[in-house]
Amino acid sequence: MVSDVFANLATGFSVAFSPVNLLYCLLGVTLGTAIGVLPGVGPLVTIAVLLPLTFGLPPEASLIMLAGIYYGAAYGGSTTAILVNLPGESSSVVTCIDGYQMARQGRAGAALAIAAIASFAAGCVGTVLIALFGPLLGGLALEFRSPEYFSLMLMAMVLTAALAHGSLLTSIGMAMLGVIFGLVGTDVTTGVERLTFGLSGLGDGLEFVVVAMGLFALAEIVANLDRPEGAREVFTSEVTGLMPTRRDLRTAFGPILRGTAIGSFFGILPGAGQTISSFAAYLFEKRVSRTPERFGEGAIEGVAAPEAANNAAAQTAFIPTLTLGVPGSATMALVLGALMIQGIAPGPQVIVQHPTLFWGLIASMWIGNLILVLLNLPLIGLWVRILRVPYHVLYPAILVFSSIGVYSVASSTLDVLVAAVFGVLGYLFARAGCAPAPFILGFVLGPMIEENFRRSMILSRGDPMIFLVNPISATFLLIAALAILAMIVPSFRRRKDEALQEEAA
Amino acid sequence: MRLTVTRDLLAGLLFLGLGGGAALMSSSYRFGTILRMGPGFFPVTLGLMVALIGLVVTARAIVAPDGSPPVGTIRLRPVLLVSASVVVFALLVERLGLAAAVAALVVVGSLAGPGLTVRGAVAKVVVLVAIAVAIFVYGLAIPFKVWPW
Repeated sequence: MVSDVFANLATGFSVAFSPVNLLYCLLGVTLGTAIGVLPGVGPLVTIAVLLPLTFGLPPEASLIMLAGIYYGAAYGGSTTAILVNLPGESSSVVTCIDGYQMARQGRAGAALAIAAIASFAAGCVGTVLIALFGPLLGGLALEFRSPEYFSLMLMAMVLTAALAHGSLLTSIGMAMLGVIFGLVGTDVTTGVERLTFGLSGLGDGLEFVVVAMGLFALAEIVANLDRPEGAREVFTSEVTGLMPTRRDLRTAFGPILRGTAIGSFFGILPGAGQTISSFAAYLFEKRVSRTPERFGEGAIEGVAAPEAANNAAAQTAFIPTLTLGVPGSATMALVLGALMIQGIAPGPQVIVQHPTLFWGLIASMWIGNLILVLLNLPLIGLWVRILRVPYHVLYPAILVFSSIGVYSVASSTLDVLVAAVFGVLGYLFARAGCAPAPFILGFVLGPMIEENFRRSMILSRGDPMIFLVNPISATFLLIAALAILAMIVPSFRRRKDEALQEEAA
Repeated sequence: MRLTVTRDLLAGLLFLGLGGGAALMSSSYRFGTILRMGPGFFPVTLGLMVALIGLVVTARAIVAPDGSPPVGTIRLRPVLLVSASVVVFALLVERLGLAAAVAALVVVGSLAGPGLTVRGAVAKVVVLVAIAVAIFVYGLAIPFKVWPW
């Protein structure tokens, strides 16, 4: 079994190490970081904007470049979090706390370097874990039938809703709305066109990239333009002493290991695994530290642990996405969308049917992580310069890339118009304090949820108890119920609100 | 009593409108039974659930307006011009080609933000058209109509 893993990884590396694919990986990491560091451009927008660049490539190269973009975007987000105190997504909120304090003390270089090293270490472990458990879970997933799938997706949506900012009720509403928008188009079972407003161009449903671009990229631009400019501090001039001291490394060693363990565990859970894991890792370090009072004042452990956890979770999150076809986060949903555009239906079969692709992707994740470290340590100065680009120069460029990207998915002007509509909708949601993450997850899962619910009902002759009788399905539902309960208990909710308040601001 | 538009109120109304609208549109599709779900089953059920959530959130916002922060002034200029710029791009890209569509997009989009000068706009147009053509037409070889002629 272990030798299998190595044989498989060897296959993967032989795919990923081809010079062309290596080049795409490098390109992906560079572009991902360059766009990801831009303030006001979160990892999700980065991926959405860069996704069309991968469409024209063969499947392996396309996914390898995507993996590069994914890591680059995540690391770029951490850079912005540390230097500008501006978290790009909820999982980098914690990095802001101590990372920004380190930057204020003139130790931005050390913070950025530790973040890169922690990410790399966690990525290495995560890669091995995927190689070990991916096929295992894929085998288990072969046993899954529609009740298990339905409950799994329901759990993913509930967890995402529970951890999103804003009230639980509106987040659940957003997830449901997402499902409704996911149903737009021809119903697979009956052939009826639903909710298309009579537009034949919507017969195949709304394109994922279109919705994501409108809801995230366009809405974010409008929200940024709405906000008075100039309130931000950027620590750019002091980024000099890049290398962490030996003492830094020794202090960060334990937190990196523990963060990796915590992140790997939570990442497998579909639904906001990354956010939970970075919080959990931070709180855990603070708990075990002999000097907890340093946390919040620029403790290097406070950067190392959540960054390791975040990246380990980002890595293991590929396991449910690839083997079950159930994305655990909005970002993973984008990756899933890219897979589908390449004509690959993720699921238990993917490992068997596309072994070079699966293992190539895993190998390229590791290579992506490696390139990230090699690239970022010398290039931090460049990213800092990009950070200084004023927003009024930046956003027209994002608009151009988004629009061309949306158009190039299917050469459809209707898609571009739909993206504009979702831009307005996304802006209204943002002003109403409704989190878009549950919406986008619901949107992706919508058709699958309906289909699996329908099949479950046929299996059970219309008895909804099937979801509770089946033990695996019941476990998923129990976890979902516990998450809802936890959010209703005031002390838990307060802790979440405190942790997320910066993101909501 | 003056009604302040709080975040909750806006959220509630959005849910009511979108959920109710979806349920209404889907009411013409066959509903079916839980055993044999018709195409209307899911959208109608979910639409009504969303509308119900909207009702609860709206009611909560009206009864206890202090429970959520006010929406504040919505400035129409950014939201309208940003979406308009994308719409303009969509309308022009197949008729006049990529270069003209990008140029129009940049001009309209730039009007949405602060600090626009004629020189700045010209510079942005030239640079972004060049980048777009270089990356998408030459780099990725996507078959675009580039120029109007």
